[in-house]
Amino acid sequence: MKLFRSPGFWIVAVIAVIIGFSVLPGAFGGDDGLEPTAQVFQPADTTRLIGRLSAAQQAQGVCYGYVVDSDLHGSWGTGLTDPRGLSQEDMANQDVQYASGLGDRTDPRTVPEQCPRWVVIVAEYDYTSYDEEWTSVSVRAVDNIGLAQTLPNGVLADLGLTGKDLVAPDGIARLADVVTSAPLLTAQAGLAPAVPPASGTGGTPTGDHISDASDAGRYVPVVLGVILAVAGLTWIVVAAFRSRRNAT
Amino acid sequence: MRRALIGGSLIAGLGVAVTLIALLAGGSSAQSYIKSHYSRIGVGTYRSPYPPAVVARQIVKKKRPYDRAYDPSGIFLRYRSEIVGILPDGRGSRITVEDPDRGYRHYHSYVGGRWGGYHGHISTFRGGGPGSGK
Repeated sequence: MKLFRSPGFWIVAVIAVIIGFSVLPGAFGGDDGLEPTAQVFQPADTTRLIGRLSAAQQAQGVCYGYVVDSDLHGSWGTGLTDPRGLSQEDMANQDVQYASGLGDRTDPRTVPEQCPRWVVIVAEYDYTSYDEEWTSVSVRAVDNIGLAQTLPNGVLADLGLTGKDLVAPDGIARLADVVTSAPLLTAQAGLAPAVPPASGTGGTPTGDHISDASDAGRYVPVVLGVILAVAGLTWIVVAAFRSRRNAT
Repeated sequence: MRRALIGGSLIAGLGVAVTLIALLAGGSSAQSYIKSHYSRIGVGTYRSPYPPAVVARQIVKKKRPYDRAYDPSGIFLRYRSEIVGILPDGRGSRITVEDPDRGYRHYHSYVGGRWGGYHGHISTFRGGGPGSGK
């Protein structure tokens, strides 16, 4: 019973409850990973990617494309990195999404007359149906201009990204970054000129503004930290007060 | 009293550490790093002899952004208090540092729809959409 009268006990108990409440939701199904979708890139994403890859193609004379295998239905792509392009089987695979600056479902490797020089980013996700999430991803640059040889550590490392970044909640944006950075890497390697700035730079439609950089995720640890600090100081003050009272 | 002094100090110290880490980590600002590591060539504009991907890697390694956008024409990093643009400039890069609103308008062709949109609504590369999930 003496234990329950100790302020230290109650302070530690309150802290344990606070930490418990902040940790438990994650332990019981809270998922901070990338939620798998039927298609990795949505139609608006695809349109945007095609537009930027097309602009790069016109500026550099290099065709850029991407192939993404979501692995959602477990039917693996068999020859995604084949320099001859996707097989009929891969093209029909519902897990495989592909596009290029030439358009949706166009593999630049299969149209040599239009694309004598090409770079294709191939991303292969690993999906676990048990956890219903993508657990990892491998990304490779396949090309016929010598780009991959200039990236000894792989395309992700050259961009300062890891496979973890691509399965994080904003992983689809990071995968898009990898796809659209291929022309930058090509120019960096001296294999083509840099892509000039996009036309229309500086114009913003009415009502279009930047989203809030939400601090919500930061407030939880800040509040937790302040509570801990106050609790620690309270413990010391209460103990000092009791000590002085007992002395008198 | 001694137990309370040690225990209370440990808990208070832990609280201060957690608060500081939360406040300083993730997307706060890259301006001081950029100022001290690259040559200033104008107001809010700097230059590096390295290409954009290398410069972005250097900055991100030191100051993790809140968000980023890679484009064939350059790389854009979003921090809470500024937007950093890294564009090819000869064999090197030109780096711009602007407040979020100004940077968003300046680089709207690259980051519009990704970092904002009509009423701030983001419309691309968010995942989900029709048929999402299993």
